[in-house]
Amino acid sequence: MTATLKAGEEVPRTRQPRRRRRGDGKLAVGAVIVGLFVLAAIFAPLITSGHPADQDLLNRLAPPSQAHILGTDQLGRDEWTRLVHAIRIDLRVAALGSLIPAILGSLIGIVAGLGNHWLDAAIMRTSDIVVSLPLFVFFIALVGLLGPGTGFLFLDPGELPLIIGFTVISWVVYARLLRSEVRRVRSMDYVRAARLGGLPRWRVITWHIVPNAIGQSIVYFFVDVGLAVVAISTLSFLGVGIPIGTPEWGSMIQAGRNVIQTNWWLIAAPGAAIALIGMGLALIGDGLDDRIKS
Amino acid sequence: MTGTEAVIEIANLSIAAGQGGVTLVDDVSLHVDAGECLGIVGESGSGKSLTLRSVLGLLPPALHQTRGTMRFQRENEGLHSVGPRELRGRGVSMIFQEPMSSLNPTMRIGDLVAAGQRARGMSRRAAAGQALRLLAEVGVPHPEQRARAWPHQLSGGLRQRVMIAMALSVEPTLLLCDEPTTALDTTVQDQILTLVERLRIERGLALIFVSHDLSVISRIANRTAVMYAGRVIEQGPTHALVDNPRHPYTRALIESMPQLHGPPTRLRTISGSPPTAGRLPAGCRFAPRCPLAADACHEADPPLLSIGPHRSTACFRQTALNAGEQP
Amino acid sequence: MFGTVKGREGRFVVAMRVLLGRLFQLILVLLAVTLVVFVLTQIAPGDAARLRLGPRASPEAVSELRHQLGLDRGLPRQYLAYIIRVLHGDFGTSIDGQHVSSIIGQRIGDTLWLLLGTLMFAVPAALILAWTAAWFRDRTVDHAIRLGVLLAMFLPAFWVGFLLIRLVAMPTGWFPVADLGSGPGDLIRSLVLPSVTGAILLTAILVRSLRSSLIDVLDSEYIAVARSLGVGGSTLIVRHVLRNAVGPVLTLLALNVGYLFFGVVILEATFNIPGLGSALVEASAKRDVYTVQGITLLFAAGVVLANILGETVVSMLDPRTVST
Repeated sequence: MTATLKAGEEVPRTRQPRRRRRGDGKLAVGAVIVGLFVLAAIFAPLITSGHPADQDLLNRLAPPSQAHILGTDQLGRDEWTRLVHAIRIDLRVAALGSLIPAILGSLIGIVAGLGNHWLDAAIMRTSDIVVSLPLFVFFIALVGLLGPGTGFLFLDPGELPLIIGFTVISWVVYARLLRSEVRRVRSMDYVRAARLGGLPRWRVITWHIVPNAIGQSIVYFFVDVGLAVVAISTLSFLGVGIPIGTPEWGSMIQAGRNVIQTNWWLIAAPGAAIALIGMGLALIGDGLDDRIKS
Repeated sequence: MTGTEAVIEIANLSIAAGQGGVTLVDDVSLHVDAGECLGIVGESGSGKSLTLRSVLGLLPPALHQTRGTMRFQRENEGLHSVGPRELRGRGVSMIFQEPMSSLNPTMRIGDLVAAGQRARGMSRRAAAGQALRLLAEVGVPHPEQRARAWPHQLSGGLRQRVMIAMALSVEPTLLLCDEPTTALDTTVQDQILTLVERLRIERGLALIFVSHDLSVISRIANRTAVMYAGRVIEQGPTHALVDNPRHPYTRALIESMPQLHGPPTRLRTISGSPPTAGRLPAGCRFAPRCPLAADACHEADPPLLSIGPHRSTACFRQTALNAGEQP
Repeated sequence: MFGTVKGREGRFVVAMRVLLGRLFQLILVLLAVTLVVFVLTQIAPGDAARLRLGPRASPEAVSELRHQLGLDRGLPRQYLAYIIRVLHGDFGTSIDGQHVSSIIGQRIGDTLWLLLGTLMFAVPAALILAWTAAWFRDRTVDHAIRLGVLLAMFLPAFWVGFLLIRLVAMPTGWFPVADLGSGPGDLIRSLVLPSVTGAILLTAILVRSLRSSLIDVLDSEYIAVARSLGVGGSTLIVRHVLRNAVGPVLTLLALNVGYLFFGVVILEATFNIPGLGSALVEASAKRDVYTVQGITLLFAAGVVLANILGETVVSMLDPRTVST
């Protein structure tokens, strides 16, 4: 830095080559996996043949062939078509079943983190009880007894109970995460400085506290969507939630269990799809986590 | 300079963060003679504690010793080259800084003091008996009762006495002290220093005593090494070093020390702050803060050179310091 | 070594106090659970009496049964009657006319075996993996374990079960795939695959937290002190490290009992094991209200009890809860 600059000469902006940051690899792999699933769901009619409910009773339990790359099931329905159309149901319900509790739980967590002692204690005790209950068992009992119900707005029968159930179960995680993060950020010097500097309270919250406290819950959101996919398919495997017969990965596996010896791919393929999308979402979450921490 | 009576000799020790990372301790050589107390003084981050911990191989996981050899004297066998793990509980033990976090919360005091000997195969009964004797020796009142207590039930001063009893349990010839008094109240600090001093004399221990506090060091150490930014910059008998510092940093340390005796003087502080590891200045590491710095000081790092019997300094300008030039 | 009756007594008393406080909480939570279960069965569609007697029964017979079951009384009185019956161990009768308590009695054995089997595989596996990851932290082994564990959380348990049946049980014929065996040898053989399946998810959950609590202990100054005294090898691990990590493991296990029960329901459905979980699934498909009530209540009580037990043991293990 010994060279002197002449008047009017611009300071050369040294642009550092973008360094590879920790977690970039995981993020990329995860994004590619999830991206492919989303694209497949959007363009499902283009990459599959016919409707997932189309039956070909003369061609039941066919092995994989050019016409049916994953063969057909007991009713002669094309397995690949059902597999791809199932992404629409599983991802949509999982995304909503994670987004609603994420928003609700985060708001509750922020209120608990900023609020007075009593409010905070009440919210925390409630979350203690929620955590200590076997909610999935309740869920089986409740939805089993009530039945899948009817559709709601753009939701098909069976989807609303799932979304409500996930909301009851997972708001707690976000509430606790946000509460402790808000408490941590609230005592930081820059927040104190902003408050003493006369910034209105809601500005301090929206500009300084929330953006700095939200990181971990975004990480968890991606993990949660993956866990929700696993939970949706597990519940419909148990016959709860999404009605039997719908193209959904868990009920496809349930349907294939009787022919596991001969047509094992009817079980292997939907399970692999669940595991793969789950891993993709987990990799995105973990990659983001690495980035936040580095 | 090193006599045959040296207990330990550390040569060319370097410690870095990670593989090929920032150097935190750079080419440090030290030795301690039998029955002697070597003080190491320096600011936090000067590498004094790392140097001490590396003797027993207790560096934090991210740090590695990149260079250096160690020789240790056992029972008149002469100096033998050793690795840090061979010294743990075998000739060397250590007193740690935080008496709260250094006692395992799930073990009773008696079991803690007996742990070292139990690891060497002593019977339960014998180790328990020895633990009681040691607790008495370090001045823990009611040893039988205290042996059954848990660490959280003791005061800071008592915990540090327990820590000392643990260190003594393996009958070391060299005791490493890592700021053992820093976390304590001043009066307790004094008691602990008295105890360490007494044990040194009674047991003929050699000590390495690390502290950021020159007044503590000047009270307990026969010989002192001053560390700055990972290097030893001056070494010599403590009283000579304090009376007649031969490095501007040592002089600054002494001037920033409050005097209890003599007329009150204005305390001096050292301007600036020590360099961050990995961003060391060219030349002498102290030069940017040094009132005597000359051009040469910014160009080359002065080596640690002998300047008389048992004394050495790493300063190009030590003659200027000698002439009494004041900033 | 210095343990005396006096020291133990102090810990015991504190543990008892914690236990009593928790028992009070147990009663509160169980009351809440019965209320939830009761409301749940109230909003279930269909009339319990009509469901029992079938569509062809006369209205008189239905109202007669309604009266017998107490369904014609007000809700608060029904709830009170329900609580009193539960307290007497009477969970009502199923649609098929069996006592729910005897259904539970027949089925609980298999469920307990599955829980035990899952824990027997999951806890040692979690300890070994977490230990390895903590010891080699930030090296390749650690990264591999952490990634593997993360991905394992997304393997659907029923799918893993079917894969094991198809790839292990069917070709080898070693493991029966339906029902639990009766003799000890058969029982163990039939437990292996379900337990491994259940353990995969539980291990993943446990390793994630256990690794960080082990690292906290390994990094602690008191472990450096123990090492400085020459304590190493198995003594260091067992006496100095594990004792400090037991608490977090138990707390974590207790917190995840709810998921563990859910896991057992899945295992029973996958491996055709007639335990409480499959009874619950069957009953809820048949709208068998009293059976669903009874089993749900039992699972809820199990979760709450496990939490209390976990907390009590943890407080007994931690000497800091004793103040003298």
